[in-house]
Amino acid sequence: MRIERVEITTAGETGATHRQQQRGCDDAVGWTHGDGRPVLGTVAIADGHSDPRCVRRRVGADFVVAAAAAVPADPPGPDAMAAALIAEWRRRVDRHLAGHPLTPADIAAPTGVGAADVYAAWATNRRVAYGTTALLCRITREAVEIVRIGDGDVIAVAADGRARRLVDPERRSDGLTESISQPDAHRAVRCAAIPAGAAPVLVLLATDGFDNAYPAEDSMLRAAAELATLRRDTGEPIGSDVLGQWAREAADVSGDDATVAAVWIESGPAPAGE
Amino acid sequence: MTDEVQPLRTLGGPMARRQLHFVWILDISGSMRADGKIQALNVAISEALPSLRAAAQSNMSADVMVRAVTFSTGAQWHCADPVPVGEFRWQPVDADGFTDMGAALSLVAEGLRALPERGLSPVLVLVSDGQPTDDFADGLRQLLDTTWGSRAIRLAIAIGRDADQSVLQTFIGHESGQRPVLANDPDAIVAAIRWASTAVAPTFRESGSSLGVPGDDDLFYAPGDSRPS
Repeated sequence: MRIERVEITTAGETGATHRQQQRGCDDAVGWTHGDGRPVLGTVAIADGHSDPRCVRRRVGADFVVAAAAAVPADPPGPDAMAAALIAEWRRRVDRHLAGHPLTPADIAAPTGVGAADVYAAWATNRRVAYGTTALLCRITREAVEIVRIGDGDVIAVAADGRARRLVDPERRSDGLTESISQPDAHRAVRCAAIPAGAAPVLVLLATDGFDNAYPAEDSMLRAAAELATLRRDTGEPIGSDVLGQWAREAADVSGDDATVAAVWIESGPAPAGE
Repeated sequence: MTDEVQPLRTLGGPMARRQLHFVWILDISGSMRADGKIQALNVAISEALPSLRAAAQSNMSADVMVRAVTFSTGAQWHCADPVPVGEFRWQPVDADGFTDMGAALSLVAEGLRALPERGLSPVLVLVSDGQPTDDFADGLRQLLDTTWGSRAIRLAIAIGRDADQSVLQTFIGHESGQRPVLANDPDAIVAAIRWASTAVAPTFRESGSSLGVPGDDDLFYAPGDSRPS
């Protein structure tokens, strides 16, 4: 078997709390299509941390998306992809810092309570100002490769309709998420590779603004399965307007930014001789 | 012609705002009768309600639910069922008896066990002017043994100079960097209660970082106290 075709649809909505506070969206999403030699498509989602230290969180999230597009196809495999993602993200952040040093003006209340904590954090690790999660999915003819750093959902739906989470992060007791901005970001990486013969029909990447809108633990699994069923039953693509409506509902209820990418995968027999 | 977007309200099942539980844990022991402390506490909680509601309103991701435990000789729910913050009304309390803080924490633990599996970390605010007269450590252990108790944002207000700040710090824990807020006069009690009420606002909660605690020298010295230079 090999993967023949990939279709990527995305949507996102600014969280109700962010809108009320007149903050922009801290999520970023982007994707590229390839010619299959060897990459068919790459998609990345990032969720900038709502933390006083992360004053350039949206920039950091955008850098995840840009870095994902720049990750080379060679060497293959999610471990190499993760290392390249982190290295490229850091390069972009460091270049941005060089041209835009952090100053007290970056903090909303530079002399207020908590400012000292922010300065202390920056003194130790300036990249924390760009703190964000990173969810990355790359599809080649041979495999579906997943890299994640931090929270959010990565769900695969098989042809039989069963949904499962991929590469779940370790649940932290302090409620914080891991970040690509950590000095030891490589330790926070969770990755997986699914060979073409076992490729799902759908990979769903979502920021936690979706899951936080549901009271039940398995709701996102159910949602992913329902999307796959909807597409199968109607024979029609699931458009960004459909995902967008879902994102709006989640963003209204959870209050957080809600961003999703649906990666539809078609597989077929490998050509003779391969 | 554009096809209408199919409604997806049931995608994944029903969505629902999560609840954020805010619990006052209030010392109404006999010593609170002195120096107008219990009167100040009653006034403070009533006057802090608009701040609590405003902070709750700013948190659009959660429905804030309020209730209270009082403790003196034993502990009891002052309002046992969580009440939406917009509907919460404070019924003044009197002071009398011992300081069974451990019993209060045990009661709160029992209440937290009934909370749904998914939600936002509760906010627990312990207010006391003295030292526990029962097994505080056991009560705290019971609280921290619950899922929500260990994940709760725990704040403490020390009323007067006889309050056992080490006990209150033990309640708060040491990881967050928070300290008990000192309130040495009625105005300071009001200010401290109002400050604690804002813990439900989203800025504090999303970050996971320490709450901003007004410094002792800013708010909570009684008139006439010497202030550090």
